[in-house]
Amino acid sequence: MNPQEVFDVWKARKSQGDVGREFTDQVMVAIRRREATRAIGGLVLLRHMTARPWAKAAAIVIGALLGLARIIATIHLILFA
Amino acid sequence: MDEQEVIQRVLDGDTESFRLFVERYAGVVTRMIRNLTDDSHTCEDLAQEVFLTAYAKLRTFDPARSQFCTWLLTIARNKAVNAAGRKKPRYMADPPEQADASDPEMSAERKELLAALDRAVLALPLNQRTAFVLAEFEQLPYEQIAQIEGVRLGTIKSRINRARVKLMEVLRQFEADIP
Repeated sequence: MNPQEVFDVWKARKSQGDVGREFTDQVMVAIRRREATRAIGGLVLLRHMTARPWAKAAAIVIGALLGLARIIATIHLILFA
Repeated sequence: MDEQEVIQRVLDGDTESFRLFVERYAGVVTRMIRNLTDDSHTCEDLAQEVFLTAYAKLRTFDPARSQFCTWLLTIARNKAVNAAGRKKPRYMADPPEQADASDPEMSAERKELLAALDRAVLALPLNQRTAFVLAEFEQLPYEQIAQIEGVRLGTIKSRINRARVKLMEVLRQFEADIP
């Protein structure tokens, strides 16, 4: 028995081994499930918002403030750039 | 297809395009985790986690900083190191299962030496083990290993060298023990 030979066999064994096609399918299923959960999460948030008048009002106010901030930033850029 | 193109497709909502990455890298990711953790039962679960994390964080991948493969293997390395760190060392109790696997023709001495090498790799400090596994089993270039490990090239060379010296000691010990 040549230990160096065994060492090479050992290294070759460790470098072998692949996964089956089912692994890829499992990963893709998990990804799609995660995407679906995220989409449902978004829908739930939307439903919560539409069901509460104060949430709708808050969304409108936030939108208006963001719009205003953007207008101010643009004016500032034009005047002082 | 160019990997950057695939990444863009995935980011644009074509989830199915990510399959290409899973098919291309599942082998190396799973092997790397198995060799680092010595756990053939959970390595596929951990590999799946790696791909899910990569998918979730794909937007943060910067092609200017590294190749996709390097980025993915960095995620795999971190998960494997965390898992290996959590795990109670097994090499003292029973020999790893790969060592005595399947080959009935293999002599007892040979099996013993394979088991000793398995134990020696698992006994390496984690940073030496990861560098050694990536260099020797996955044949990755040292530069890529340095990127994955987040250290300098010289550090990687020295870690791999130290790991090799320890394994060579195991071999020498066997040569001395066996007439």
